[in-house]
Amino acid sequence: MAAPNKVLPGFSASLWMQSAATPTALTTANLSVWSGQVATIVGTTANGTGSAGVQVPVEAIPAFGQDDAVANFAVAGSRQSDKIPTQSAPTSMTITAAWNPSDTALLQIRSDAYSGIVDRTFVIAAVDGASTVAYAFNGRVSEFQIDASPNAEAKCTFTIHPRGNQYGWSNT
Amino acid sequence: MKVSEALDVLVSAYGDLDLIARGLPVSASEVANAKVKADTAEAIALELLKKYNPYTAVKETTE
Repeated sequence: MAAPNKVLPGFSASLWMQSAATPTALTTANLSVWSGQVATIVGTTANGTGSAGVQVPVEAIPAFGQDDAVANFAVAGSRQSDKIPTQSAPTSMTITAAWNPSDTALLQIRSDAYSGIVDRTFVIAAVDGASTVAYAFNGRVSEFQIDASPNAEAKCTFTIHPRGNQYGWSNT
Repeated sequence: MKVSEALDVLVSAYGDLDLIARGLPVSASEVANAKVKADTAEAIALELLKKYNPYTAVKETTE
């Protein structure tokens, strides 16, 4: 994947997703293309066009990347063993958001979780002024829960499972 | 396989692009001479083809 060629001294991050009920997720190559692709998912507040996307009102952007996966080898008589990186799965992103039953994005995510087979493109946009660095990936949603505990505001948690190899970086 | 066909395969793929690009039989010289627009999926795909099909023009020497 193409690496971003911007360095943002300070930024605010936001999460965006395709808005259609049955979206066509961006292909792997298009996940690295800002103009006309990733930009359509990111809203104008993050320097995109937002024509095909909506913001997900999350409390914080969770860690993303890949999980650890190594094979351990040992040779008799050798002081140290060896760790060889193997095929590692993408990190699942567990996200907490204030539950608003009128929010379009949260209702869509709940619907995706009920289905379990909807592939959707998500974008994490880091913005500093007119510059945006975007990490786009395709994923499916599961484990949607609403916690309506009376001693705090209602919140929902859900997990996005990114599809393997389907990610890309782009920037304005 | 023509470079344009290989680009179509890569642009429409959802899998590991490195893995797919490695297995596409294209001419290295055609890849080197191919032109695409910048900041497009085709440009991403062409970079991958160039990575796995490096091309060095043969220079004619006189003895």
